[in-house]
Amino acid sequence: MLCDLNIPWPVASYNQRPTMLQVHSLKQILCTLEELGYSQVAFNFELIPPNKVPNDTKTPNPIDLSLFKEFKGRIKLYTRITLVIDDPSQCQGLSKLTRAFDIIAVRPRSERALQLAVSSLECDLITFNYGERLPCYLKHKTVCSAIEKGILFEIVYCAAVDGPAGSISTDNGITDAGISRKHFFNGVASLIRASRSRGLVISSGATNPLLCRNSYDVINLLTVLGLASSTSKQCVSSSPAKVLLNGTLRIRSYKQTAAIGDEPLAGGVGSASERGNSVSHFKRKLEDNTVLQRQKKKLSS
Amino acid sequence: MVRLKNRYILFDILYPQEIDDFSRSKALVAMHKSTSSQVNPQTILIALRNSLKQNFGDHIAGIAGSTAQTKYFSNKTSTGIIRCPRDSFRYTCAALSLITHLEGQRILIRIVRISGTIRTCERYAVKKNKETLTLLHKDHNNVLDLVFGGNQKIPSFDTDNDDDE
Repeated sequence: MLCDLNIPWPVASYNQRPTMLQVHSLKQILCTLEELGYSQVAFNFELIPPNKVPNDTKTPNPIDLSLFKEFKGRIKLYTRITLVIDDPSQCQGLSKLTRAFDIIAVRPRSERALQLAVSSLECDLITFNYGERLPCYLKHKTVCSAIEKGILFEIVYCAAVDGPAGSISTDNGITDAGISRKHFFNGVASLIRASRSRGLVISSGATNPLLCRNSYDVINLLTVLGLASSTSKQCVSSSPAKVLLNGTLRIRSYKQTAAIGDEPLAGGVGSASERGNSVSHFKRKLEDNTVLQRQKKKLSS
Repeated sequence: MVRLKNRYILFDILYPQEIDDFSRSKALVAMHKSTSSQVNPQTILIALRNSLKQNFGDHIAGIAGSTAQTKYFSNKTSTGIIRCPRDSFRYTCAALSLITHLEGQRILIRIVRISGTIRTCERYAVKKNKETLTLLHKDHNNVLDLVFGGNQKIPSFDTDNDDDE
């Protein structure tokens, strides 16, 4: 099961709606991800400080999943919000959002904000802008205390594939995204160091279908950057599934322990979810399959 | 004597911007468009070497890039095989996936499989193509019309069998 937890929602504020062209591009991205083997995709709505959560609690979620009806049974869609925080005073409306989104992520832009996100915010993911320098030096203690609490760290690889909008493309076949790529390599290396290669999630952040990459390419890129290849495999499959499960449990369970109903909590690709499999079930089945295959191989050889 | 160890990378070029209809089969056909005739094995190799140099510097470009070779590329199926030294194949793969332009056109390069001999790569390519065709057959009875918009033959995956052993 491959997950991509970060497809940016094209609209940045609450009172706008995405245009036809933007929806078209999103659908192209979904088609591409499907072909590349991904089955769980989350749209990411980013809330940058001047924009605020509206006071009426009816519409805290601007993402309209009904626009993507043709992907039903093919890709499972989720919604996610990313709160950009400079200052601890900015995150008052958080309690309103917890039930509206599947995943809640935080992008701290200062050291104090990172401290706050790690210590007291109820979020699932912490992310950074990898196209620029990280907001502060990442300490092992801070990062690992977050991972112990179940908050994972996200790596967004679109900064490495393509530079920020308006980057110059040269004739020799490569986009001149040197600076953003340099920051990406630096940021990922320091995150791997600080987290001791635990609790990492990788996602695309693709604003355009050409920025998506095969899971193999992503794993290989992480391996080149110094992560063990088994750990990097987890970054695209089981770790993001954990984030999704965590988010769904926050909405649907009593104190993250007991949930009612026989609906699957998270995971389960299209048809699998119709059969009523939960993530753990799904995972166990996969493992069983590989064991069986291994035994078959042994027998045949 | 010890043989020189290589890795063969099977890749294909996708055109996700061509997708207009979002049903599974039509998107699949649009994405696997044929590549323009300007692209040939040499241009791919040049793009790979440039990417290696830009992303990983002269050192890796020297080690990985100078002995890399495009063994096969078909414009019709947009599929190809690259040979590279085994010690540095991770760099070659990373550089390949970081290529965004080819002959002025924006593309997505997907690495499908890596193996130690060219023959396993070929076999896998044939198997993969068959799977894709079965997938298309599920939705449409007349796949050929869907792919070509007329009565034409399916291009066979003709590999030039120059053995590298």
